[in-house]
Amino acid sequence: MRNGLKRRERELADFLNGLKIVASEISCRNTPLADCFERAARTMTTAIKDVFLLTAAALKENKSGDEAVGGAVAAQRERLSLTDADLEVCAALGLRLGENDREHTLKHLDYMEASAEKCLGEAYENSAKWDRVFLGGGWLGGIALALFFL
Amino acid sequence: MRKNSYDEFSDFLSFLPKGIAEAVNNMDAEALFGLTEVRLRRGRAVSLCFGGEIRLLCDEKGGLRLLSDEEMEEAWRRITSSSLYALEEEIRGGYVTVGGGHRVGIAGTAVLREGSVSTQKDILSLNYRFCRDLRGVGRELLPFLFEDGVLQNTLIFSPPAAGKTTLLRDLTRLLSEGAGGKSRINVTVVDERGEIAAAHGGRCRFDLGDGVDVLTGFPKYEGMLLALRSLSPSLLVSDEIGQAEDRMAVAEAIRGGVKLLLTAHASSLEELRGRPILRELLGDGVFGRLLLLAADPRPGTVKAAYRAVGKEGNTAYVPMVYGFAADPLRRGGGVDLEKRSEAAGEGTG
Repeated sequence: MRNGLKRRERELADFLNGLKIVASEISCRNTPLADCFERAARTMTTAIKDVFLLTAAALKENKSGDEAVGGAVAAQRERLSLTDADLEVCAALGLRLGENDREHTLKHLDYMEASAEKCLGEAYENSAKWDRVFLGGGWLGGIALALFFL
Repeated sequence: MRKNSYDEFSDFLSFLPKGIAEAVNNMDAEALFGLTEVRLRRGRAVSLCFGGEIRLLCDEKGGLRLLSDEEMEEAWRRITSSSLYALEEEIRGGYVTVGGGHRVGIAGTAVLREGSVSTQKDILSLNYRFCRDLRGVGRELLPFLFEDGVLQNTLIFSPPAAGKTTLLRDLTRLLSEGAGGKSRINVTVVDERGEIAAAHGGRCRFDLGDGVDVLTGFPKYEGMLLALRSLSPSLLVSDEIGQAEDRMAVAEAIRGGVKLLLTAHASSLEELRGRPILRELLGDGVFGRLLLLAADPRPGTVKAAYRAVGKEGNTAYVPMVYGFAADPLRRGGGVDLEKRSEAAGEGTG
């Protein structure tokens, strides 16, 4: 369970980092979406990488942003350690993505970053809570063991 | 459709909705010969333009092939690569140049921001213009560009879709490579609309030769000044001049001793003179040669050629009746770009 929590953290951190790379590619280089997702995927180490790669491939097949991101998240759902709420945030990235001008596309990405940060914050909190439980459990176990030997 | 332009045509079809592309591709090759444009209008029949002639696309049952809303959305995604923001500037200007140099004109609803057009939405029509790379078509016209062995500033003009850019591309290649026994020269192409070289991802779709530098997406004025400052070309090439600031760039080039090969929209010399900036340039005797193309009977038909006589400020343009190997002007006929390409024995690649 603790591993799952840590994986969630890492996946959300990857997703957030990916969003930042996509936004900077758009604002600095006007890069087409498919290439943005491909470049962001290169920096990733978790299963989110495949979400970005599948999205890039679907965009190259002329699917809409919604279809591409939604399809990729659905395809990788089982492999991800994200909660349903996290997955909803990930899928929302595709909503009308690439159908607006640059200003609105960047605003959408800003909003997505804020949502992902919120999820990540919650994941850190959850993880810290369980860390405390495990730590407390460890101490209690240790004391019980010491008492047993005494 | 010419066999050796198969790749160009496949490229072109890849930007059409799948169903329409298949319907066009299934047409008889002979029937597609000379295709210049495909026009998509939401809910209307798909039009195919062959120079001045318009035919409507039919479905398998012989009825008119209408364009559905979904197909229009698909076409839009294919053109913009689902990245509308990346083409904002072009869409604002009413067109997008897609891979392969094909230009797509756009008609929709303007999205205004602070009183000026920011982009377009609710796209109603798309006009795909098929871009050809016909090698060797300018070879016969090369001698026309020189006087006493000196390259003359040349303006190619015609109505839209008459083959200006195709001829410009080939003349650029020939001049840069020193065709016709001339010396090789350094050429800079200011390709504002990305149609001449069709540069994409750091590569030029059309081979313009070894001596050509391409500035893509630069406004003509800025691109020409940049070229003069940093690329020291012997020849500057650009498409569709006529804006007020173009005059300043042309003047700078002339002062710098750089030759010009340009194009403009006009269907006659009188119409050309009717455009203020061009009238001034003609009056100043900037151009030593003018070449008028026509779309009829086929794109690339040379309708007339003129040379400048008189002094600066009092220049007149007189028709030329010599200079081409095929000598179409003397016969009162026309030269066809595709036939010239075939005669040159070079593929279109």
